[in-house]
Amino acid sequence: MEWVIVKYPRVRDVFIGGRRSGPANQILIVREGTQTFDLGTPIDYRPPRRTVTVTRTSAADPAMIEFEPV
Amino acid sequence: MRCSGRFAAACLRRSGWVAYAAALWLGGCYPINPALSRYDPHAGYRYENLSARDSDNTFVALSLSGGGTRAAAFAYGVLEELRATDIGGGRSMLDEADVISSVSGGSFAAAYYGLFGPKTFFTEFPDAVLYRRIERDLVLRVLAPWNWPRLLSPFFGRGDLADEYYGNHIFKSRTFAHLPRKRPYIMLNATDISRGAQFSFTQEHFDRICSDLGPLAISRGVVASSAFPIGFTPITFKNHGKETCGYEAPEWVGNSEQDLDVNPQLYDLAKTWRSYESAQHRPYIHLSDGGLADNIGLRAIETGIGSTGSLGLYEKVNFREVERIAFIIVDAKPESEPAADRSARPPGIVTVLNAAATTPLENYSSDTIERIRLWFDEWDRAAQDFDVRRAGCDRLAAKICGSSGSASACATERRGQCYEEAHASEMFRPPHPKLYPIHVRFEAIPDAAAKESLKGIGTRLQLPRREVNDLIFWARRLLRESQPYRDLVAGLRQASQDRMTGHRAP
Repeated sequence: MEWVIVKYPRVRDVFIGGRRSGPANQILIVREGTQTFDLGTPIDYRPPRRTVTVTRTSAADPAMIEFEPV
Repeated sequence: MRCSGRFAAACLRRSGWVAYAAALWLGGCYPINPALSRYDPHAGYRYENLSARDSDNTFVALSLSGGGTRAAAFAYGVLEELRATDIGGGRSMLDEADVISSVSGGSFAAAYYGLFGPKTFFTEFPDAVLYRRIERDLVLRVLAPWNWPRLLSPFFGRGDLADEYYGNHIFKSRTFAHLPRKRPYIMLNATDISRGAQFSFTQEHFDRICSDLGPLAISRGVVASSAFPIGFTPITFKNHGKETCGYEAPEWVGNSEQDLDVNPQLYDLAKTWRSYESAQHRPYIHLSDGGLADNIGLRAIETGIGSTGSLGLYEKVNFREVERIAFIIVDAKPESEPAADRSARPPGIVTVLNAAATTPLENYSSDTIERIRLWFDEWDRAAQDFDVRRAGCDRLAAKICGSSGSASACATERRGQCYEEAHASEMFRPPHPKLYPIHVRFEAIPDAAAKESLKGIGTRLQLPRREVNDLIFWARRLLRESQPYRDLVAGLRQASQDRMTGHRAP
């Protein structure tokens, strides 16, 4: 079990591997390993997706993945 | 549906005209699993397509272990106790079951319950399976001379004979398409003997061989799940090849192939997933007893949550929609006295082979249970650590800002700074459903004589009526007296009461 926060300035859902997986700006539980994150449609953010290897995180020190509006 | 055209060609290549003609005449071919015309990752029997029977904020998964009729009776007892447990609002605990994953003997109970529903299950299953002399009936069929030609065919084995018997006499020729489109999700698990990997009778797994699970007989899943080696021949499935239905492996497979060092378990799973893609290399898949890959049926649930994500639990937890997670592990593991240790002579070949076949499985099963326990512990610890960090910030702010009070601007500012630095702001608050690991096993029986008696029941497909009744009695009592189960029931009853009175927990 790994921990991730996807940061985005607005309320938005996070998609992992194409599946709606949780809200942005809140700590999320994910599996360990390489995963592709995006914010779904419309793609009004950048980068359009991030592929990140999530490992050795904790709830106190989660992986931080940032997107920004375009 | 016997000896299809392409399969006939395979028969020909392997056995020549004479054998093929004889096999065809005598019906000595196993049924071919149907092809899938078009791959659709959202169609067919999969968890996401089943409606919830009841409150969706509680996730209850049952794993039913292997162990022949011993396991089926033990599973029946647990299901009966779940049905008898009232959780308020006219509902029982059984209504809360979301997933039932099973192997081997447990698959008889899972399939029968899933197919026919609670009413028929609780009235008919004991006579249809538990008290039935399945073993005798199967032996008689093997000994019947009119079955010998078929059994001599290389394309029809004792497993296929058992499939016919289960289909005609227990599962009433029903198919997977007859499974209701509501929870619990039934996962019958077998083992792909070439890879040593779990193979579940779900559309997600059948997609990999471009096969449509729907028209397949339920009995085929049960017999594959319970085809204990030597006693039963493996059950063969045709790999139709990914190009025939346009199958594309899910994204996690490609990503996990990069994770040999990071997550070797998932890497192996991805490799296994890919191995089905080439129908040239693996035109046939041979499935044997699910217990060879996992004898308690828990791995399929763990994989569906933490690896493939097919059960969608992390998503629901992340959206803070799940308040309780319960795993009910129904474990009919036997443990007879090691007779070999009473002799100075080294154990014979049968004892050694039996130990070689079963001991690693038991260790693997214990390992799976331990992984779930550690997972739950980690989750609890994350929530506790968050509370500790936050409380530390509160104390620090109060100390720095002195008697001005916690509501003062000073305290608010200091606390906010500390929350940011210590990762204790709301953003970092981990989702924390209440977790209930419930392990129903013989070892917990308080009566020493009863415990020894149940642990000594062999793995058979027929048992004396008294032993079946004892297994049911103790399964019910063990579940009823399990502390985590009592906590779960109390929590659900309280929630039901709160709903009725309009009270909402903070």
